[in-house]
Amino acid sequence: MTPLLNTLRAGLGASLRTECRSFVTAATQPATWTHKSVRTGVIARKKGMTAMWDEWGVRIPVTVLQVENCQVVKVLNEETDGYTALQIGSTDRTEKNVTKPMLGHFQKAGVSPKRRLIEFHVTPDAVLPVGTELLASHFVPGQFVDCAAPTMGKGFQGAMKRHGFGGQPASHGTSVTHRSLGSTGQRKDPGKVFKGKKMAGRMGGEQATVQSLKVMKIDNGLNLIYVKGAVPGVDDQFVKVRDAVKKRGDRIAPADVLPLPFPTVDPKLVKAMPRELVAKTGGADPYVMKE
Amino acid sequence: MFAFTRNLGARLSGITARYASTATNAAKPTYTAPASVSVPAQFKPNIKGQGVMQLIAKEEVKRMGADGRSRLFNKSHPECLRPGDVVLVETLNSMSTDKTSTFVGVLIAMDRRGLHSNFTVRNVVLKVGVEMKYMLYSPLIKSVRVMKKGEGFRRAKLFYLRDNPGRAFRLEGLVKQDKAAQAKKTTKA
Repeated sequence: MTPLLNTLRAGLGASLRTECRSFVTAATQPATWTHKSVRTGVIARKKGMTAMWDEWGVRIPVTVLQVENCQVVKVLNEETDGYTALQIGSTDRTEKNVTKPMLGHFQKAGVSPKRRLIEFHVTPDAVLPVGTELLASHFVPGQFVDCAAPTMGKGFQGAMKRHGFGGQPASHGTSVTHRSLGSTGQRKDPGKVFKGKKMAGRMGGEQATVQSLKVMKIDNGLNLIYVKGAVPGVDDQFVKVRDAVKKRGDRIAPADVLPLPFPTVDPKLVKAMPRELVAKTGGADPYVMKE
Repeated sequence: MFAFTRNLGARLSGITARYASTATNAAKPTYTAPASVSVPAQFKPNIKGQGVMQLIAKEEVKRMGADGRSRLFNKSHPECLRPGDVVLVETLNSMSTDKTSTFVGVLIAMDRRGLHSNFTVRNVVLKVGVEMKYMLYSPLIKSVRVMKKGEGFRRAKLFYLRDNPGRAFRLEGLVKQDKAAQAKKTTKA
């Protein structure tokens, strides 16, 4: 057992074929959650939006996120890089479309080439070995997550849409300037327009994070995470999903679902789970008047 | 091989292990859903030839329409609703009680949107026009019954009835008839 553990801890470099997917989890390196632990996030693809009804009959809009071939590609640590993080790769790519430098990078890790690589900062106890597959069940129904993705591009937009400026009156003499900025500064002092002055320009396409979205459902068969509400960006977008930073300790999920799988879920357990798990809203029936 | 236990301090002493963590069961762990998680009716996913969103929409329609309410929107089914039908919609007041509310009216619009299919029912109640929009697959809808089939309506959307109702909303006689028929049914049974 120990020699196996040592090989795994070494990073699984040359001992695996490029297309092999490792199911080694931290079960081989037992880790204990502390209140300061930060576990890894996951890269998911935004598939679209739909709606579902909860146990009280309330209709809830949900975004469907799919975890697609998500694996740990590289472990960054304090000694070599100055911080502890996991480089996660998502969505396999054909080898002929991957540049030689990147092919080498993936071969060193022993994983198949990926489309997108994103780093997630973790605490040292949450480090996963290279090649570990991350599944949708890394998150549990009822917990809160943050989703970050580039927003939809809106092109060149005026100040009213881009920054919420008020514009000028529609009538009463206003000539040809109904939607313009208005004044951009003072007079001789300072005698210039400050840098960063809000003006018209390209809008959208920047990363935005939506915080504290509730995970309504987990689908183990298709590796889907259903989150309540909207997520920035277009469909098939790569979305960074991680535990909500504003929900610390017990607030991250209902009590009976805690502790969250740490550092990640065991694939054997996922096989034992039913395919779909739905979070209950809980609380009192909203359609019954409180006495 | 390993024990799937966690130590999280005194606070979690009351939480029982969700996973079988004994040495004998370690080879094949089992999972029991906790109270805050529900397990819906499960289907086997067959993703062949369709995208994820199409597949889950179909499955959800199957799950929410298990009582056969899809036939109301299926044009090839004899029991399909048609704009102009006088329908009686019975809705549960809440999921925790058996009490229901009833609304009778003329079906003026049907929107076929898969899981989000909905229909609008209009009636004049105490001289006030009332329109109710219902989501077909909502769990709060108990039943939808056709009291009279519509005749002579040549449109898919009968929004013109808002301005030109004619005799379309004279439904008191129908309601009385229906009540009598229902009472007869219960006494017979």
